[in-house]
Amino acid sequence: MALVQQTEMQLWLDKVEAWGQARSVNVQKDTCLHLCSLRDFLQRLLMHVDGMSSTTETMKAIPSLGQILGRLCWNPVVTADGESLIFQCLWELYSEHPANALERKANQWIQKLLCQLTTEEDESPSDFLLKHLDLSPTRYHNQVLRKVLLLTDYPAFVCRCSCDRIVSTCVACVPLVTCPEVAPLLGALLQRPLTCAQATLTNDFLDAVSSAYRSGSLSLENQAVVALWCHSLPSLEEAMLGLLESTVAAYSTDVVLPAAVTLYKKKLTYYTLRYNMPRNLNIIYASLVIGRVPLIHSHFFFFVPLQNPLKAFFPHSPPNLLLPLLTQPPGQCVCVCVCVCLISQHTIPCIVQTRRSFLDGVGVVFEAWFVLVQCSHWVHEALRLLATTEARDCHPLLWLLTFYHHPTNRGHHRNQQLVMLSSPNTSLHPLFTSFLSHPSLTSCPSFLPSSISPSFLPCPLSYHSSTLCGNRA
Amino acid sequence: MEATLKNLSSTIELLAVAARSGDVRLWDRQSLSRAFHWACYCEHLFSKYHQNPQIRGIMEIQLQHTNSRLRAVFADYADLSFLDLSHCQHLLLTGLLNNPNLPLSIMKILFDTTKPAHVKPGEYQDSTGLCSRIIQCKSAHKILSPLTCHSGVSAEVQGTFLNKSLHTLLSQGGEPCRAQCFLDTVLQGCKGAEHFYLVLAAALLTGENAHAQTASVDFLQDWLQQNHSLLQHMCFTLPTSILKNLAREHIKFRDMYCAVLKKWAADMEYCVDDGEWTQSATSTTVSFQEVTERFVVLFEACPTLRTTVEKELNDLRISDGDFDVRGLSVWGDLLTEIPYACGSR
Repeated sequence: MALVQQTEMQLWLDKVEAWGQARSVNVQKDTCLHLCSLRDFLQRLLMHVDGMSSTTETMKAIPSLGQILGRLCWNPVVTADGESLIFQCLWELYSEHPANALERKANQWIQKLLCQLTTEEDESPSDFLLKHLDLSPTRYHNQVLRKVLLLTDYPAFVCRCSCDRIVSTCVACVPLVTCPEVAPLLGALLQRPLTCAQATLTNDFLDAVSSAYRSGSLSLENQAVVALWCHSLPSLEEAMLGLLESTVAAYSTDVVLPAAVTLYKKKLTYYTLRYNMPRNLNIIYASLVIGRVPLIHSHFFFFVPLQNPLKAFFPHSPPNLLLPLLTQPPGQCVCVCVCVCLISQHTIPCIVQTRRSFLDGVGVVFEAWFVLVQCSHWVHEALRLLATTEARDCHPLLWLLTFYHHPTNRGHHRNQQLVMLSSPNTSLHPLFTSFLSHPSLTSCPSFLPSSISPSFLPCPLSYHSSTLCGNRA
Repeated sequence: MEATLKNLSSTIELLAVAARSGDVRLWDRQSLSRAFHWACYCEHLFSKYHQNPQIRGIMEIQLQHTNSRLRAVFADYADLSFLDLSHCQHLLLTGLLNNPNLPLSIMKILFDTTKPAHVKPGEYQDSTGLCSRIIQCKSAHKILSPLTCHSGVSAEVQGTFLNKSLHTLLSQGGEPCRAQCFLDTVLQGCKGAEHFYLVLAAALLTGENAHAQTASVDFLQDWLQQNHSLLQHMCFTLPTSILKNLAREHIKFRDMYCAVLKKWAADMEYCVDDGEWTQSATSTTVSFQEVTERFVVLFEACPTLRTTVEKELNDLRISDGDFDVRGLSVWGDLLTEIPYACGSR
C-alpha cells in the first residue's frame, strides 16, 4: 500500500466510528475541521483502489474500506460536500460484471446504501405525508433547507451577530459552499463588517468559498464577490489574472471593446481593493495588458463615476496628482508637464523605494505602475521631455520609462539599464535638438499623437524616430 | 383525450419497467432523461385534472386497466392510484434505485456531483445529479439546523403544505367530505406519530395570517374537535410553548384545549394513601400539578379566559358539595393551586 498505509486506514476508521452519524454539533464541527485531510485521504484512497484489478482484490487488501465508506455516507458533513469523493469511491467498489458472491454482495450493498441515502426520511411518517401532500421529496428538502436558512437570520449578519455564532457558522459552511441554496448565507458572512478580531472568517471558509467560486460551482452576488476579494487576496489575484487573460485573448478581435465593457461590468469594483498582482503577472502579457488598461480604466470611470473617493482606489498615491490625471482626458490636462516632472522625479521612485516590506511593497509598486499605465499620456510627455530637456536632467525621465516597461525590476536590473540608456540618449540628444529646431516642426504643438499608445513600440527612441519620419512624410 | 390516456398508460408501464425489469440495463443518459420527462408529464396531468371529477374518473379507469395488465406481467407489481401521479418522478427514482438491474452508468448520472444546477420551483429538473442534490439538501439541513436553535422545521414545511392541500380541496368547488376523507387518510397513515401532531400544529399556525386559508384552518379545527381522542393526544404530546401559541392564535383551539384540561381534571381521583390526585380513566398520565401548570400557561396566553374558567371551576366545585377541604373536589383544589402557580411564575 503505497498511497494509503494500513495505520492511516485504522486511524480514519477510528475517527469515522467516533463520528457516527454526526448528529451532535461538536461532532459536525470536528468533521468540518478534518474535511480537508479527509478529502486528501479519500483522493489517495481512490487512486489506490483505482489501481486494483477487481473489488475482490480491493476488499482483500483493504478489508475496512467498506466500513469507512458506509459510515462516512451517513455523516452529513461528508455528503453535503459538493465535491464529494465518497460516491467516486463507491463506484470503484461497484463491479459492472460481478465475478463472485462477494462482488454481487458489494453491488447490492452499494445500491441499497445509495437508495436509503436518497429516499429515506428521518421522521417516520414523512414519506406518507409527502405522498399525500403533493410534495415531491426534492422540493420538500429544498423548502426545508430554505426555511432553516431563514431561521439562521443571515441578513442580520451584516449588522449584528455574536462572535461565536460567526465562527461556528463559518465552520458549518465549509462543506456547503457548493450548495446553491446556501449562497445567500455565504454572501452575508462575507459582507459582514469586521467588528471584532475574534469573529474573523476562518481561512478554511475563505479557501472553500474561493475554490468553489473559481470552479464555477458557487454563484455569488457581485457585492459578495468583492467582499470575498477583500478577505482573500489570492482570490482577487486569480480573478484579476482571469480577467486579463480574457482581455488579452480578445485583443486582436473586433469585439474587444464590448468584451472589456462586459468584463468590467462583472468585475466592476475590483479597483477598490489593494493589489497583490505583480508577483504573478506574466511578463509575456505585460505589453498587451498595458495597451488594454487605459481602455478598461475609461470604462471603469464610465460605470463608477467617482462614487468612491480616489484615495480608496489608490491609497498610496498623492491625491493632488491623482485627481487631475485620472479624471481628465489627456488633451484637457493642463499640468501634464508639471505632473510628469513631479511624478518622475519624486513620487513614483519615492513610493517604490520606501516600501516597508515585500508584501506591502508589491501592492504599492503595482499601484504606482497601474496609475502610470492607465494614464499613458504621462509617458508621451516623458518622451517629449526626454527629447527637449537637457541631457543631464534626463535621469528621472529614463527612470520613469524603464519603470513603465519593467515595473517589478525582477531580473531587469533597472540601474544597469539606466546607465545603458543614458549613454545613447546623451549621444542622440544633439540630433533631437537640431530636429526640433527645424522650422517645419516648431509650429507643431506636439509631435507625438496622443492616440497612439507607447506600449505598442519596443522602445521610446524608436517610437520617437518613426513618428518623426511619419510626420515629415 | 385518447392520446392523453395512452400516454398515461405508457408512463405507468414505464414506471413498472424502471422498477422491475432488466431492460433498464440498456438505458442510457437520453433514456433516463426521457423517462423523467414522461414522469413529469404525469405530474402535470395530476395537477391539471385532480379537481375535475369527470376526467379524474376516466383516468382512474384507465389506471385500473393498466394496473391489471402490469399485474399479469410483474408478480410483485403494486397498483398505482391517481394520487400517485402527483409524485411520479419520485416513484421513478425510487423504482430505479431499487431495481437490481440498474446499470452503473445510470447511477453515476443520478449521483453526479459535477453539475450543481440551481433549479427554481416549478422548473423542470434534469435527472443528472438528482440524487446528489437531494442528499446535499438533506445534509445541509442537518448541518445548519443546530445553528438556528429551532427544531421542527420539517414539520413546519409539511404543515404549510397540509394547509395548502386543504385549501385546494375546499376552495375550488370541492366538497367538505373530500377534505374530511383526505385528513382521515393522512391520520390513518401517521397514527400515533408524534411528528404528525407537530405537522397539525404547524398547519394551524402557518395559515393564521392568510385570509384565504382561514377556511382550511377552521376546517382543521372542526376535524380535531370531532376526533377528540386525537385532540387529547395532540395536547398531551405537543410542547406547552406550541399549545400556548395555538391558544393565543385560535379561539376555537383555546376552548378545545381548555375542555381537554377540564376533562383530564374530571378524570382524576384522589388517592388517600398518596395524598395526590391521579388519572383514572384515560390513557394519558397527566399529573394534577401538570394540569395546574397547563391552566396557568393557558391563562398567560389568553388572560381574558381566566375569569370565565375560574367561574366555571367554582361552579363545578359548588356542584361537588362546596367543600374547602383538600381531596374532596378536584375543582376546588385546582382553584386553590392555580393562584399559587401563577404567583410562582
